[in-house]
Amino acid sequence: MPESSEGVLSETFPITAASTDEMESVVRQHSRFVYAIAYSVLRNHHDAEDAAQETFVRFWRHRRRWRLIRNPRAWLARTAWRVALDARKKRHAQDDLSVSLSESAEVISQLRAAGAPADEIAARGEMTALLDRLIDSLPEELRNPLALSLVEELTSPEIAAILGIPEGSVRQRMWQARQILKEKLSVLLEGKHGR
Amino acid sequence: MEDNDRFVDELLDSALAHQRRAEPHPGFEGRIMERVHAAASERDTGTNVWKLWVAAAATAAVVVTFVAIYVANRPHNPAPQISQAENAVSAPSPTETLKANSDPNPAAGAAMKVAEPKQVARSERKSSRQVEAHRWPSQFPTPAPLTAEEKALVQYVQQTPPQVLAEPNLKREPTVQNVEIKPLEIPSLEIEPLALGPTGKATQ
Repeated sequence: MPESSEGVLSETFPITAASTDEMESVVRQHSRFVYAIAYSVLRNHHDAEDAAQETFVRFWRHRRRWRLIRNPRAWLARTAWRVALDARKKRHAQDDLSVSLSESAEVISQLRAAGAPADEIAARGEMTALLDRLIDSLPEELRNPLALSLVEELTSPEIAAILGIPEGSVRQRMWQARQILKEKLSVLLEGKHGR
Repeated sequence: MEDNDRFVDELLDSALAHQRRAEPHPGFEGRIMERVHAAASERDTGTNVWKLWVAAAATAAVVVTFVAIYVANRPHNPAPQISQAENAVSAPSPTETLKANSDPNPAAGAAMKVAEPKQVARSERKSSRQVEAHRWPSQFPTPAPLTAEEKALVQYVQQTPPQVLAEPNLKREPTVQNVEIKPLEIPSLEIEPLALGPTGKATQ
């Protein structure tokens, strides 16, 4: 966690050069972190960037209460999480499931049969799409800890703080989610591989 | 089977790790600041409009207050209205009194005398108070306030026509022309002569 994020931000709330400088400093420190959280939920660059920008706009509008924010990093993480979830709900309403699970699984099986290493297959768009679909199919209480665990900078206590659950529950749910993903992926690949 | 398990494990770990490496496009921080500045300018515009509306409302309120004060205190001469209103309360008009006195039905006349001032008083009391409240003194400092009797006398004199004022005087008191002045009768003085006594002193 960056050292400055633990400090109390100044009490400036009118639009002054000082508040603008402070805002720029916060953006420089936390923009990638906020983006990663948004991306973990939305798994789309464009949507994640929109959500990150919206998060910082909210932080700017909140500047009258900056002095009350003891940990801007945690504040930004929670806000980014909520903004991304809202965006995800809106996006799902107009989502078209153009890429089917079976099509993605077939491409991956062909690559595996051709002897491609797991790293190479994982970087393919088909694998990304397949993983997105599998994560989406998880129950919400398992999907949320797994999604946040994809953010490198987030620790288990921070994930627990964002979700409002004990740290032990975070670890347990992450393990359960991974097991379900592995089972589903195995079934998909075996089905295609066994043809 | 074990190979398949191992492959799926590796594939899943790699795929999740690949998702962790997601990076924003170049210039991301600049775009964030642009969006923040845009949002700030939008809010500032809204705030300025709000301030203008408040200033306009405050100015209008001050103007309305000054106009109201001016209208309430502007000088005017309400003397006739006051005397008319107070006349109904304090003293009946001489013409009415004369009419009542000359009425063939004394009971009806008395009833009129009692009832009319009350009705007039009710209807005009309010306007009389309003007029007094807004009256601007014609003389400052004002003399000592008149008593009710003095006010009634002044109103009586102001409102009564001169003929009416003169009529009772003609009836009640004799004029100079009608007085008969009798000549003074002074008895003549009789002076008796002095008579001297034996001692030489005068005796009566």
